[in-house]
Amino acid sequence: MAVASISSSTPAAAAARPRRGLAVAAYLGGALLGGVLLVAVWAKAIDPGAFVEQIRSEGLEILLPARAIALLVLALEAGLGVALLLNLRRRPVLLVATALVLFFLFLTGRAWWRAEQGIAAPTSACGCFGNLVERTPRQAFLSDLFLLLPGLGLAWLARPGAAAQLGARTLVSGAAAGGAALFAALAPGLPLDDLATRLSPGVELTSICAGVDADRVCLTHLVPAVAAGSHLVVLADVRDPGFAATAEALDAYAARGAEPPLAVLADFTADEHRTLLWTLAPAFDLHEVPAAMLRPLYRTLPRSFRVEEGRVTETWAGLPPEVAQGAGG
Amino acid sequence: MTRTARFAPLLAAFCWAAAAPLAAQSAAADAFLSGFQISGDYVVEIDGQEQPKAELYYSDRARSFLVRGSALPSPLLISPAAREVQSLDLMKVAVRQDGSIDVLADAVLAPEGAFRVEGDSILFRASGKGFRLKPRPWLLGARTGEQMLDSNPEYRRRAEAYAPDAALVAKLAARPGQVRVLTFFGSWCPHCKKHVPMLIKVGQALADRGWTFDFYGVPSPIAGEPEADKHGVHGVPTAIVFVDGREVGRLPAALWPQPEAGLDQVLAGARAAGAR
Repeated sequence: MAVASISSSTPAAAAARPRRGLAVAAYLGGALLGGVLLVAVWAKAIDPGAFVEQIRSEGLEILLPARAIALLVLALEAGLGVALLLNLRRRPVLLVATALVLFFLFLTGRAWWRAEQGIAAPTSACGCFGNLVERTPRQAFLSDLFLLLPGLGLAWLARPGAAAQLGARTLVSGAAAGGAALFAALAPGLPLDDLATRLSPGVELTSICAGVDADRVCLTHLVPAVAAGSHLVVLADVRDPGFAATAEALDAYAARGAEPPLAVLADFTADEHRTLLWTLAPAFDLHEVPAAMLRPLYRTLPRSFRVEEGRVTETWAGLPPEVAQGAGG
Repeated sequence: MTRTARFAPLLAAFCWAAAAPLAAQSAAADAFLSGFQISGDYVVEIDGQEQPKAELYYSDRARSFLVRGSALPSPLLISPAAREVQSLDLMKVAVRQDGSIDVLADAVLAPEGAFRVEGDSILFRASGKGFRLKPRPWLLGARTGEQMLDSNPEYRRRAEAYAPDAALVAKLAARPGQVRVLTFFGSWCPHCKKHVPMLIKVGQALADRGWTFDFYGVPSPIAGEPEADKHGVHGVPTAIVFVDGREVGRLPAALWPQPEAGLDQVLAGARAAGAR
């Protein structure tokens, strides 16, 4: 009987095996896509300011303010990511995921094409993964292509029929979407600078670079003075109306000849430098560093760090304590 | 006009040229008002007339400018921090061997008044004359190295101060073929001001050795400048190396502080690529 049972079930089992294998592959594909989306959500949500800048620079501020668009996109990505991880591969979910993936590929593809045509600098990497990852437009397009497309393709196969616990999974996905938006809204006030940027204790200044090929330049080339010895370095925004107050504190520190010496890095034009010179007459050393190198190092300005023999040892949101205390006193 | 009056400017110019180095030998420099280096940031106008011979210096230590020249009754010290202009005795200005200037410790500074910022110019009055410091106009288009040095005294000072590695220069000079280095620069760009004069100096050392150095000034922003677009230049300085008319590479940004080493690397890369 047992033998008969086995022999009678063998063809069905053999037919079911590839189907099950396909279902597992399809789930894994969806989960891979979901995982990538969640990593991208994390990278962008910890520095929503950079994401808002990217939305503006891509010309996507349509109908809603860029900040609102950023929160909506993050919510959508997080909701989709969790839904795919929970195997909620319903047609509407996959249609939205497909539209999102194609839109990302369009953006990165357009950036690559622009760089190839000389319309944009080849260094303007896409920030789809926030400021944590340095990628050229070509690398951004290709990595998005290989990370997103296979998973998406697989996710469309062997979709589950009647889904168990559909309501619960939908609820969890919705909660993830809301949570991601809430986290992104609160992130600027959270102490996440070291996580969200390429500047954190232990980083070597020689690794803080921008550009590709012959145009690649590192911080130690632009500001060799900070490559050796101990220094306090402040990243500042000279265009911020509040810079005058910042400059006053920096001036007080520099003027009293305090140690370690201070270097201020900012992105500015020759005209702006001239204006600063005659209006603020800074007593501190002000160095021009291009935005492409500076932007991945902060979420908000000013941000500062201590460097010892070319290695970052401490970072602070705002001015270094030595400078801030001096200003307060 | 009396004979004495006619020769007074000449006499003043002679004293201006001769007295400063003499003063340098006799007294110590002021600890703060020293290390003035020639600056090419501004051109000087007196009573609406441009003064090509007036020299402007800037000291990082003093955070001040110093103007001197035969057309000025006395050197002037302009302090952005104090927001004032002061004059000083010509004999209290000392010129160092390297061309930089120190104010002597016993110099007496006479207040001349405040300056004001008008647009991108600095205006003030001193000794009854109206002064204006105007930003030096951008140097645009195709230039030779010598034209670059003539256009801005700071370029000349920086070029003269740079000593290229003689062995590398000899190696570059021995290279066969016609090498052309086309450098895009912005006279408004601080990194260009620092490094392009060094390349000009290397160019001087390689003159008549089969090397040509051309320079091309671009405005800010660069985007849309036809020549820069044509060569795919997005930032300055960018030096493109051509061998026998074919681009073989670009000077790596990291090697601008020693451009002859950068050129050597580009040519070595081109040779390696050719060998493959």
